[in-house]
Amino acid sequence: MLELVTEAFSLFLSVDNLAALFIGVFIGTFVGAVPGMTTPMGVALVLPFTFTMHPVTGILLLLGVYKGGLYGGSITAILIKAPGTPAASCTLLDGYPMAQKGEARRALDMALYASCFADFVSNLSLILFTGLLASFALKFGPPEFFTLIVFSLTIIAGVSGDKLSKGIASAAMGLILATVGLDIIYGTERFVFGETELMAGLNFIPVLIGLFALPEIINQFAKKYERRAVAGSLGAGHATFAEFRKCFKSILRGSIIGVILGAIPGIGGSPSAFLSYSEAKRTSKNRDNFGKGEIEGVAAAEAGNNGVAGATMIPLLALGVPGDVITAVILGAFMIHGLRPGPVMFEQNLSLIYALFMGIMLSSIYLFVIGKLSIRLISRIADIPNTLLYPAVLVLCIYGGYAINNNLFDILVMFVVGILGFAMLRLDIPAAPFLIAFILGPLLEDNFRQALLMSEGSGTIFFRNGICLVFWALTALSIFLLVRNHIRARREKGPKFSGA
Amino acid sequence: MNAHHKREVAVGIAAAAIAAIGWFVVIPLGIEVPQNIKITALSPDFWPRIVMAILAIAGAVIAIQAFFESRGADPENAPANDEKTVEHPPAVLAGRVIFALALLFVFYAGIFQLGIVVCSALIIVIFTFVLGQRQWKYILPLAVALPLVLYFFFVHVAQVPMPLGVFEVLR
Repeated sequence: MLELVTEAFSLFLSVDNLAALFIGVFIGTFVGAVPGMTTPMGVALVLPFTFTMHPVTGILLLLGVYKGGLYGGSITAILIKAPGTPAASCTLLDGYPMAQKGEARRALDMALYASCFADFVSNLSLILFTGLLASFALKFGPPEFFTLIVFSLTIIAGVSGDKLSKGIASAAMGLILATVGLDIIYGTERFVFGETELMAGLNFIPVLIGLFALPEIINQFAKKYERRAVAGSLGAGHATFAEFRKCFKSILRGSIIGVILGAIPGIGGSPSAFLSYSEAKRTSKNRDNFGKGEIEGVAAAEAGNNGVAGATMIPLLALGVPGDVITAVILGAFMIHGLRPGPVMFEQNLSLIYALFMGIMLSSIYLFVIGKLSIRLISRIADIPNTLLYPAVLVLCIYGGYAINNNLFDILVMFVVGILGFAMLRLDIPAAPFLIAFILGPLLEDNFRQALLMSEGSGTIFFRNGICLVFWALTALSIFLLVRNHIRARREKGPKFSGA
Repeated sequence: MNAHHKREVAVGIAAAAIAAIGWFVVIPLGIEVPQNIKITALSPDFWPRIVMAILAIAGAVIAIQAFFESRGADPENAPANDEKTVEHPPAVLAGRVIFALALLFVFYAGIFQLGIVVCSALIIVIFTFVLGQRQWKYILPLAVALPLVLYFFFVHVAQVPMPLGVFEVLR
């Protein structure tokens, strides 16, 4: 054990890793702070830069962007009532009123403290629970992985929000696109149409960039130029340790809520932030002040939001199944470096995983440092007009898209998928299910076919043991709950507002 | 049926139509199925057909849900657009978007001749201008600096060669 930790430490402790993590957290904070830029977009833009890096360095860079993004959204949420990320829309409920009262600095400080603490708790849970789950997953074969991935695909409902049917349609399109290339068993062509570039299938990075970055850029042409609100003064007061102690119960509760919800695929930061906020309001002595500038509200929202960060990596590292869009991208990054997260990685690359754990723990400290030093800088950067920002992002996309395989065809794929993504954006069809299905689809089909080869075509292999039966039961329960909640939500909204 | 519901029904029908075209046309044309397959579920076209069926069902559900919701809704009152930015009128919007998309493909074709650096600089200038930016003191430095910085990063730091087109002689 000591030898393993030493090996992991030597793998982690390098200037490249320390710098990559720092840069990643900074980029993520910036991306999260800018309204209109999303954390998946930030991760997509950074991903091509990781190709030539060591796997640990590249993954830490991406994780830094993820964690920075979770916090960064709160900066503009508090300062100009424009949350940079969906989860930060809970933070603005009390953060913006505090800014209006001249207490922006206090709100930003408390948001930072709560974020860092929750992130730390989430990282601890990742380290403690992942190994246990991975050792259980060693018992998995193709039928078990197939049923697990079927269950995981129900997370598509979670990332679809209230657009369940459209989410399923989006996922179906992602699954189809993932079949392009050569058939794995018979070697015949699927949807290649004589184009040799398509024989290896579509690379996931041009698809990712095309789906998440390009549509927003193209959509700028639909909008008239508008001036964004300018952030006011930060105010003189800081959040004190006494205030942190006063809010500690809400921060701890929000962190635990974030860990539990983050470990469940598909939930994400938004529900966690709102649940943490509502619980804090319910139990607080100052509940009447919530919504009017209550610092405990800011603390609870940010704790819930950031508590998911480490926990979403649990299903990814232990089972090889992503919990949300970002971890789906990180799964792709692992694969690009020839690594396959899951129980096998725990056997073959344990030192690498421990090195990642060390980096993840350090990211909480970096988040604190960057948050403290750069609030003023990032609040100014968020004033960059979209007329300059988006063309710059486009050029980043193009360079990144080309760099994958030194192939101009990838740029063409990116543009075509970008058009599809833009159509989906305008038609209110969620893009996240498309990407998750695109990544999980090949795994699903491969395990399905391997299982059938093992059983010589008999479908009973998918019910061969308790693990398979449990996942089928969970899938059925998940679908039942999703459909029931979806129907209830549509009834409550009424017929005027439809969002299939 | 208001405009919103009509659009939703159209989306559902389009999804189902795409699935039908996929099932009857694209899959037979695009997938080679060997003759000697003993287990149907292992056929190369089995999984794509399953997915097309899922897409067709999802499309039908979208259309049917929108249709039934429209029967109880105010025919004139579409859901409020809570988008804070103001969009161009539809005809102008369509023209601008088509222009942007066409420019992307012109850019792609241009890379082969002019290289990625020059094309990126040009696209920054055109895009920023069309989006409404008029301050050349920001446009020009961005158009020059960003492509060059990225070029030097990828070529000299990441060791990824970048196409320069006719400017290869400068390498």
